[in-house]
Amino acid sequence: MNQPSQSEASRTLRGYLGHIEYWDPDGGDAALMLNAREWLEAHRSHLTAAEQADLAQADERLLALAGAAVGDAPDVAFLRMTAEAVSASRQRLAA
Amino acid sequence: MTVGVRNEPQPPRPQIVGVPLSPQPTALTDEARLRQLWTNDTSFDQHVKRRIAYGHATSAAHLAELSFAALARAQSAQVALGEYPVTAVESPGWATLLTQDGRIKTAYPIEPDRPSFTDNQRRLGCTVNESALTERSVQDLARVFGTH
Repeated sequence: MNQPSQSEASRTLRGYLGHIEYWDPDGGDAALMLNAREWLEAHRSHLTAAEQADLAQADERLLALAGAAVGDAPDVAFLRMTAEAVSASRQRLAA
Repeated sequence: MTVGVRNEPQPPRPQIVGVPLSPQPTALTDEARLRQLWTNDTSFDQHVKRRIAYGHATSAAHLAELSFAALARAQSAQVALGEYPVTAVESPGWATLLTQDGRIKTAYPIEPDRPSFTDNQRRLGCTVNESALTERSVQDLARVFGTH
């Protein structure tokens, strides 16, 4: 299996940050945000310290979005799954 | 005397998985055409910003170029059945998701090392049916969107 490059990690992080910044509860592509967050979790070591700090900030915003989300449309469901992934990540880091 | 337009029978407009395709030439830019096909303007604007953030496109015009080029090469359709049905028209390297009324909900490149449309829809508990597009559908899509 090919190892991802640091640039791929940076690109994925930018996508994750952008998805949160330009969040649309009816955008149809929130699965990409979940996929990006899971990918970043699996390749966290490819992020610089500054990028890991950006990720932590973005996660905070995502949890706020998820807390305020209403309904059960697919994008909201993926948002909640991403929040669960973030929570699990935090627990792992705290352990 | 009233001069009217003759109401001659018109051949049915071609449709692709529920999308009425307009074969009429248009003076609109590709970006304006794509915006018209989208669910709504606000969602389109947010979508463009996300695609740029992900590095999938550099502008709305670039996104339109990519989207239409992909639709012109569409090969298969996957229909996710559930409370919120959605159809993914897949081309080599690109997915275009359509609502039940045939509007574009989202479009993005397919990344081989990430979960697929089917993988993601199954996480929502949806059943996904996949089929190749008919030869006629492939030809219609190529004719309508294949100027790129």
